[in-house]
This record gives sequence, C-alpha cells and structure tokens, in this order.
Amino acid sequence: MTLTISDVRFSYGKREVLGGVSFEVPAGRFCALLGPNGSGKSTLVKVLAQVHRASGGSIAFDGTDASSLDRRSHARTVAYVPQSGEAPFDLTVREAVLLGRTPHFGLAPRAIDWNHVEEAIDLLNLGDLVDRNVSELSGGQAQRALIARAVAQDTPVIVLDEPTSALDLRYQIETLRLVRRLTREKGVTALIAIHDLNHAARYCDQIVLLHGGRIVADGTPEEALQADALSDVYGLPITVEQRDGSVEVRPAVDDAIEYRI
Amino acid sequence: MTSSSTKHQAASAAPAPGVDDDLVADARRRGGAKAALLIGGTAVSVLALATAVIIGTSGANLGHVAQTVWLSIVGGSISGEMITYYPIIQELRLPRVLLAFLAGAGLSVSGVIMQGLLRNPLVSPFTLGVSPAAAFGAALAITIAGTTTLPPIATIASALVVSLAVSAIVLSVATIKRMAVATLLLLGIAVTQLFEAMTAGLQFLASENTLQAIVRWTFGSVNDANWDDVRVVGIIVALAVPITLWFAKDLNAIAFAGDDAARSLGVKVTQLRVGLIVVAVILAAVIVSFCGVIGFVGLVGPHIARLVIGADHRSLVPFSVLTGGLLLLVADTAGRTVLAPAVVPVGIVVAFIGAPIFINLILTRKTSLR
Amino acid sequence: MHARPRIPALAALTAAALVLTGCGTVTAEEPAGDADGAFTVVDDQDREVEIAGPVERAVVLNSYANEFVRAIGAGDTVVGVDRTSLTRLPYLPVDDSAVIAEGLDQLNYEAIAELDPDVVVLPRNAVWQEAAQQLEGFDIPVVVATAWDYAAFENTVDLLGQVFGAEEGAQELLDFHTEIDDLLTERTEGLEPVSVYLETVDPYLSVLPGSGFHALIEAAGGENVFADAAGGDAQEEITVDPAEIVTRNPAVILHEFEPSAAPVDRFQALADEIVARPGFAGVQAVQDGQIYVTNGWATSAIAKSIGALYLATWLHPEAFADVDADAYLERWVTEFQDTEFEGADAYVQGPFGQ
Repeated sequence: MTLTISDVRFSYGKREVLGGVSFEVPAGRFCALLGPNGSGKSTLVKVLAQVHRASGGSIAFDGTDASSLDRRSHARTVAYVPQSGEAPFDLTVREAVLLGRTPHFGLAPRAIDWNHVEEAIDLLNLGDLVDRNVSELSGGQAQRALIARAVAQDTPVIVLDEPTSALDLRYQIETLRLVRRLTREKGVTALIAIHDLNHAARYCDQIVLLHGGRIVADGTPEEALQADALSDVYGLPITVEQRDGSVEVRPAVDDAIEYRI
Repeated sequence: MTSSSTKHQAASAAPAPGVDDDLVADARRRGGAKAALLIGGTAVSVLALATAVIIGTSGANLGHVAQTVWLSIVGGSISGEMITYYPIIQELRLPRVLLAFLAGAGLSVSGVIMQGLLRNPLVSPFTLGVSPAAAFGAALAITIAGTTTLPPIATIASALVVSLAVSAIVLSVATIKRMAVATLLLLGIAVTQLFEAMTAGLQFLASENTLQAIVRWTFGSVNDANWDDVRVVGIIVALAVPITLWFAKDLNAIAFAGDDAARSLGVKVTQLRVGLIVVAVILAAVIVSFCGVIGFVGLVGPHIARLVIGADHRSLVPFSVLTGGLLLLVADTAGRTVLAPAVVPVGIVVAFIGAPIFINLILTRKTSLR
Repeated sequence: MHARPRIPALAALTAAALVLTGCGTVTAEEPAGDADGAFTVVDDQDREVEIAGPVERAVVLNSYANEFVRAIGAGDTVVGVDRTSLTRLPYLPVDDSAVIAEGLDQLNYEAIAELDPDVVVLPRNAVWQEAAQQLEGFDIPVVVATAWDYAAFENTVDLLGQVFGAEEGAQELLDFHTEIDDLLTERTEGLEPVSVYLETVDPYLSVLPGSGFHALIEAAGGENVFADAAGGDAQEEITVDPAEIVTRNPAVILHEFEPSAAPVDRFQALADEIVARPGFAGVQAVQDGQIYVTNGWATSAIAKSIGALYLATWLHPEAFADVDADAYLERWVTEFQDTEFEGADAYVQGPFGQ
C-alpha cells in the first residue's frame, strides 16, 4: 500500500511542529524518518497513526484519503509501535499481543484473531514468554511484544516511533531486520522514526530527513544522506563515505565529545 | 547473529495459513478456566446470599428461603412456621442481602472502570469527589430539614443531585483539557477537599441531633434496605455491567496500551473516557446516595478480582461484580451478627473483612500488584 | 552586609518574647469584701470547685441543664448558653448574642470571659477539662453537672441548688420527681410488664440498659425488647437490625423525636413512616394500633419521668385510669419552666395504627 503524505501541518498551540511535509513511500518499502531532536519525526509518526490530528494537509493510502476512514478502519490500515509501553496493570504477553486485534473483533476474539496472535508471537520469537507478565520482560523483550502487537494488527502500513532508542545494539539490529522482513515477506509499508543514521542507511530503502518540521532530503540512503545537508541539520561537520555497499556517516571532528556538551 | 536469524526464519515458516486448530483449542482452554471461575463464583454468590438470609433468623433454613423466593414470584398461601418467616425473609432479609451485594458489585465495577480508564491502580469510584459531594448533599438536606420530618427520599435525592452535578462539572472541566488523567485526578482532589470542608462547616453549625444524623448518614449502611432501594440499585448495576462489558476490549486498549496506542488501535479515547466515567460516576453516586459512604470495596474489589482472574477487562468486569458483591455481603452479615441484635454499619465493617483478604492475596500471589 | 545581622537578631528577640510571655506573675487585687460569700461545691466529677460568691450571672451548657436551672428558679441568672439549648428552649431569657458555642466543644472562651459569669456549668461529655484550664486565668469557676444523666438526677439537682443558692427550688423539683416516681412504683407493682420498642431520633436507633430511655420503660411497667443487647454508644443508644424488631414483636412502639419547646407537628408523618416499614405490618403494636410519637421536650423532661408516666398510662390503662399525665406535663411547663403551655396534644400524640 502506497503511503502519500501531502503538505501535512501540525502545531502544538502556536508552536508549529510540522510545516507542510510532503513525501511518498511506495508499497512494501521501508522508510526511515531522520532528524535531530525536535525535528518533528515523532509528531509525524503520531499524525500518521491518528494519535494526533493534522491541522492541515492530507494523508492517503493507495489514493484513499485517511480522513475518509473512521477510526476503526484506520486502525485496520495503520499499526503503531510506540517508544515504550508502560502498563499500570499486569497482563500476559499473549493478552498484550491480542490488543492488536482490537480493531478487528467485536465482543470476543474469534479463532482468526487468536491465529494472528500466535503468528505474531512466533514471528517475534516470543513463544517461551507467552504466559509471562509483560512487567517481567526485559526491555528488548517488551519492545518485541509491542511490535508483535502491531504485527497481529495485520495492517498494510506500520509506523514505528523510535522503537530502538532504549535497546542494546543486538536488539536494535534485530528490530530493524524484523521490520525489514515484514516489508519483504508481507509487503507491508513501514515508516520508522529513528536516530541512528548508519542503521537507517543500512536497513532502509528510503530516507526522509526532517529539520524544523520541514523536509531537507528525501531519497535512497545514497541520495538523501549528503554531508552538507547533514552538517547543516545536526550542526556539526559530518563526513559521508561508501563502505561495504552502504553509506556510512561519521562526525568529522577529532573530539566529538566537545560537541555533545 | 546468524543463529538468531535462522531461528526467526524457522519460526516464521511454522504457522500455516488459515486457522490452526491447536491454537483455537488452546484459546478455548484458557477461556474455559476463566469461565469456570465465573460460573463457580456465581454459584458461591447465590449460596452466600441464601446463607446470609438465614443467618440471624433463628430456625430458618435454606428451604424456607427457597420457598419464600418461589412464593414471592408465583404467589400462593402460607401456613405454619412460614407465617413467621415469610415477612421477615421477604420484606427484610432478602432486600438487605441483595442491596448489600448489589452495592458492593456496583462500587467494584465502578472501581474497575475508574482504575482502567485513569490507568491508575490507586483510584476508586470516589476519586472524582463523588462521595464527599453526596455526603454534603445529604448533610444539607438533614440540616435544612432541622426538626421537621423528611421523607428518606429527600436525603437520597439531595445526595444524588449534588454528587451528579459536581461530577458533571468535573467532567466538563476535564473535557476542556482533553480528559487528561492528571487533570481529572487533580480536579478530584480539589473537589474532595472542598466538599469535605463544606460538610465539616455544616457539622460545625449543626445541633447535636443534626450532627449525629449527618455522622450516621456518612457511615455506609444497608440497615434500612427495602425493595425500592434494591430495584433502583439493581437496575443501575444491571445497565452498567453490560455497557462496560461491551467496551471491555476498548477499556483493555486504554488501560494496557495507553491513550496514544489506544487511539492507533481504533479506540475513540476521549469519548470512551467521558462515557464510561459517566457510567462509573452514576453507579457510585446512586449507591452512595442510597447506602451512605462505603469505602474500600470500590478500591479493593477490583484488585481482588484482578489477582484471581487476571487484568483482562472482559473477565475482570463480571468477576469484580462477584468479588465486590461478596465482600459487602459478608461484611454486612458480620456487621449485624457480631453485636446482634445491634448493627455495626457495613461501611465500618467492610475494611475489617476486606483488608486481611486483600493482604493475604498480595502475599500469596506469585505476581506482584502493579 | 548591613541588613543581614538584623534578621537573626529580630528572630532571637521574637523567640525570647515568646518564651518569656506567660512567665510573669500578674495578680489582680481582690475586690474587698467579696471573699465572705465564697463557698465550695463538689461536682459531677468529684471536683471541689470554689465559687466566689452568690451566682448572679451563669453560663449553662446543655438544654436539660438549662431546664433544671429554670425549674429551681434560677433561670434569670443565665447569660450564656449553647446554640442547641436556645434552639430547643426559645423561652430562655437570652438571645443569639448569648450563644457562646455551637455544640459541646469549640467553646468561645473570649465570649464567655466577656459575659463575665460567676460560674460556667457544663455536662461531663463537654470539654470541661479544657474549659477549666482556659477559664482559670479569668477566675471563672467551672462546674460539671450532667443533667441528661437520669441516674444522677438527684445529685445534679442538689448540686445546681447549691451553685445557684436555690436549695428550696431544688427541693420542690425533687419533690415533684418523687411524686411521679412514687405514683409509678405504687401503680405498676405486680403488673405484668408489657413489651416496648422505643426508638429515638432516627429509624431503628434504639436504647439499651444503662440509658435513661431504658429506665423510662422499666419505670412505666414495660419491658424493653432490646434489654439483652449490648454495645451502645455513650448514651447507650444503638442502631438495631429491623428484622430483630419484627421478631421481638413489641406490643407498644414509642418514637421520641428531638426536643423542641416550640411545637413541631411531625406525629402523623412519623407514625405513617413506622407503619410503612418493611415487615412491620405483622408487628403486634402496628396491628393493635399502639404506636405513640412524642416530642422529647415533654417526655424527656425531669429525667424522663414525664415520659415514664405517659408510657405507663398507655401500657396499663386500667391501673392508671384516674391519672392524667397531661396535668403533670402542664405543671412542669407552667410551674417549673414558667412558660406558655400549648396543650399536651402539641407534644404527645397516639395511639396510631394502620
């Protein structure tokens, strides 16, 4: 399903967060949304998930305007993976994944719903943990449960809001490989807000670079990741090299720590 | 890396397309255990209701209770010892035990709704200030009446009107702020403080008798239960439970996934929160107006149910009807037995009965309460 | 640099002032010639209280105490009361400005001191320890006299007689009480007690042994259906299980509502409410039409002996055929309370039935 974003605007009160964003993610592509803190990545993801309502512009799925869908139909089209999922009450991993079926069943889950749940659990390798409480899981396991929920939601589009930020390297890579696999095997269109430029370059088909709520670059990793633009956006000199068939981005300073302070 | 990736691929190849029979059977088994708990709990509740009727009625047995229920439905003539038992069981004991059970059930369901919607295990049906508002309404009616005779319905109506009006104000203010959880909790605290102060003010100005009447009202009690009370509370509970069950999966989404994720799962969070809080508040307001302030059960009834049957609202809601109902029923039966023929108000007894059960459950359950 | 040291210095000065306040001994010079009228009484709490001279101005808390003070002829000395007393007894010779407390706690000591009374009288359930301490500085003696306690009736009247120098009036009141008491003892002797359910201000709020109401029932030749119960509050009153009332099946039901000297017509409404209670249709008192409703101002008067007399005439109509309880009430109102009598019907009504 092709995701078309046209001139989307969003403001918190008077503060403009997205100032007319337009791009397209073709069906089955894995698109990374990059940009420094406050660039509007998360906001755009939430607007796509209908957590927030855009104050202007439009979003279309294969040409169908998102605003013409009711909330439930929308939830059958787009799944959302939040940064983290703290629940105040205990529930098992299986029940947590079943939440993804909320837009699909009426009063009680049917056999097909359970089937999707089990499939998602297998896909995310959560089989041994199904009867554990979510609170007992490690950070990586909990993040996988959240992705399993989105998988069980069985949507053609999936959006992820910095799902890798709290994970160690191994789980970061696993998460990205998994989403990539969803795009390859199930034809899901995926959009991920992410901080790590190199991971994005390595696993994603398309990169959209946001700065101050506007698009700075949009294209393949090679096209989108240009040293000039990145240096400008992140405010420090950056070099971009080709390495092992992928783009690698590095800060071009000897003492990068100085800039972090 | 390599090994983990092969594992993934192997796993993803496993599920066959279409419906897997084993999985469905699994799901049935899990559902079956919960259904067994619900059916068993219902049976225990019915038995407990019947037993509570004969406790304190010397010489009566379960047969008399069954006969009374039968007679009150189909009619007929009574003779022998039933002439003594029928009016006591039919007019006094049955309404009393049913009102206690229904009030407990209603407060417990109200607590489940509030805790789930506000995503906070520490809130209760009274978090938004329902009970201090109702208490003020009752105290106002008692004070204005002074030495004139007031029909009981006047106090009930005054408590109900004030508590519903206050809740309406709280909810409309919170709606302006998009029903944010923190806004609701803070408004609740403000309203609670305000109305406790207003009731205290009335008490300060009240004469000794009025003061005692206000204090007695605030001790929750089902001592003057009659069939009209049972009907009103029964209808409210009978309406609220199916409504809550209907939205149980949406309640699950809000409680476990949070507002943002729930919205992305197709739940109309703001509307649902307003709608279900209205249900919870009406439940609590009606029950408090009829029975006085009965604390504890609305906070702990849901937790006991959650510890036994799990947090999924589709089974939690019906099971909390049973835990709350039984808790209050046992408390009231103890309250009228321990000092018989005198009666200790159920609002005082309930914590004595409920706290040990609750603490025991917390200690014996493997999982911790979160 | 200049401002800083001032703050600690100021704080130290304030602290010193606070500590030293109350340390200095200030004695007022005794007005000459006052000491010879001084006398000592032993009050309800066995305290010896010295009163400087004849009491001409008194603050009296609790409506029953005010009734007694008036009954012994000292009513015109009262300059301060609690709100409840004034509400119940509008014929007291004071107005709103004399109200020095809403109830029996939170007394306004400044207002009391301003009234400059010779004595303050309050019952044992009021905050008398606090009052004694607070009023010590003003040299106002505090006497504990508990007029609502029927068992302490004679001692209380004696004590009030001494305090107000009205021994004669006290004796007249005691004689009136004895007259009623003797009449009841004489007429009820050997009679079969009749079962009575008595409730006060709220539905199902009944009375236990130890309460004045229980004594009222016994004095009237009745038997309290809840004589075996226990666990009541300070006044031995307690809410009972409605089913127990039905099971115990009293022959007579008496409901006494809040005392009010100004007539309040609640009789029919209260009786109707009792008849309509669930399960009460089968109770003997309801079937026989033996429900009585009274105003506590009448039936709780003189340690409830007026109430006992009324109840006796209802329980044992033959034995009391020639006794007119209304006449005793009228004497109490006109002679001892010195106020208008609105007729017995304004305070006592019955029997009611279905």
